Amino acid sequence: MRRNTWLRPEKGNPLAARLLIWIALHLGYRATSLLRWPVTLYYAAVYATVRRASWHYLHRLHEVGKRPRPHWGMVLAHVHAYSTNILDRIYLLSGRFPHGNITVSGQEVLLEAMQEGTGCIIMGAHIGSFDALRQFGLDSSACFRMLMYRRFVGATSRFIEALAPDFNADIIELGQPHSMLTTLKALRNGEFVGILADRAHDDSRSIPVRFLGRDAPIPTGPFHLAMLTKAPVILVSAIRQKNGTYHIACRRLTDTLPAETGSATSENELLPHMQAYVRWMEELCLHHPYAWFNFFDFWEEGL
Amino acid sequence: MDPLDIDPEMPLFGEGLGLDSIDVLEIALMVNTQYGIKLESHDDNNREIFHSLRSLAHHISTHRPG
Repeated sequence: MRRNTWLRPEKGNPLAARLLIWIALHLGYRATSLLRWPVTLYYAAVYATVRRASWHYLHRLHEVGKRPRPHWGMVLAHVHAYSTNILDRIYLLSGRFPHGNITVSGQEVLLEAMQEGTGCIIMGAHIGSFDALRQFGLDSSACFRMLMYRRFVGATSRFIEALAPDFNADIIELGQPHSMLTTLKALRNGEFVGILADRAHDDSRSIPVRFLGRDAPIPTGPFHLAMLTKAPVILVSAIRQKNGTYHIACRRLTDTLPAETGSATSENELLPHMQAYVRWMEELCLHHPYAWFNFFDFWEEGL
Repeated sequence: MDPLDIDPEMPLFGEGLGLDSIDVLEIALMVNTQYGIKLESHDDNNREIFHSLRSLAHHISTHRPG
């Protein structure tokens, strides 16, 4: 039995979330920024899993030889980056985040993909800001949908997502028999479909891929989808910069994943593409160590 | 699993044969190439068509062109 914890109802205190949203919307960004440390200390003090998951991840970064030995200050800095991400969500989703504060590089690969007319799979990870990514998708000229699990969204996210009235409209819910047929149709219509491809869940098929020196279960679904639909895959990350702006970087995963329609695809065919995806995640983590927002037992080694 | 062991009435999705949404996509694409039948996402009958092997076979045999 797999013990992935991220599908459980997420952490957070609904009252605190409401208060935070009120302050963010009424007192402005500068005043809200002052709350980042109290929120950080609260999270770090109350949630042992968050502390342990952060420690485990920082330890992995250190072991691959690129980052200093972890200490508790780094764990706090990591949780602080997450608190900042949550506060920024409020501004991004309520449409109060200045559009000029999002810069983009590599958008030409998106334009190329659009011209192919086969739709396009925008693949991301839980690294950096999902909402900056979503904002970018909504601002682009193509229609943008997001594949998501909605069953286990907690109260905090529901409050924050309520700030964007159209949030649910752009979502294709995963885990339904017809989820992928809806996705196929969207792609055939030339739409962009976003998916965060780093989290395996209890029922989904995954294969172990080496990530930061150890095998972690990576879901095969997103790559299988790309192979079956022949849609190009663009890797997109949205990382917060020191000055509070977001930088979005786009890159082609590999050439279109080849597959003969009708032939059963094997995991061996998917693996090279999954490894390329994981290399991209590693690069992001090494350059932006605190942008990793998978605060659960990612390697399934026990926390 | 031996194909002969499959109960044609067994649910395909979730419990039963345990197929997932990706398998449904794979089947839909295969049915399209093999029999020229399009299975679309907006088809309200999808749940019934993909219920079991028998319901899928029935849909194919009644919608086969020519």
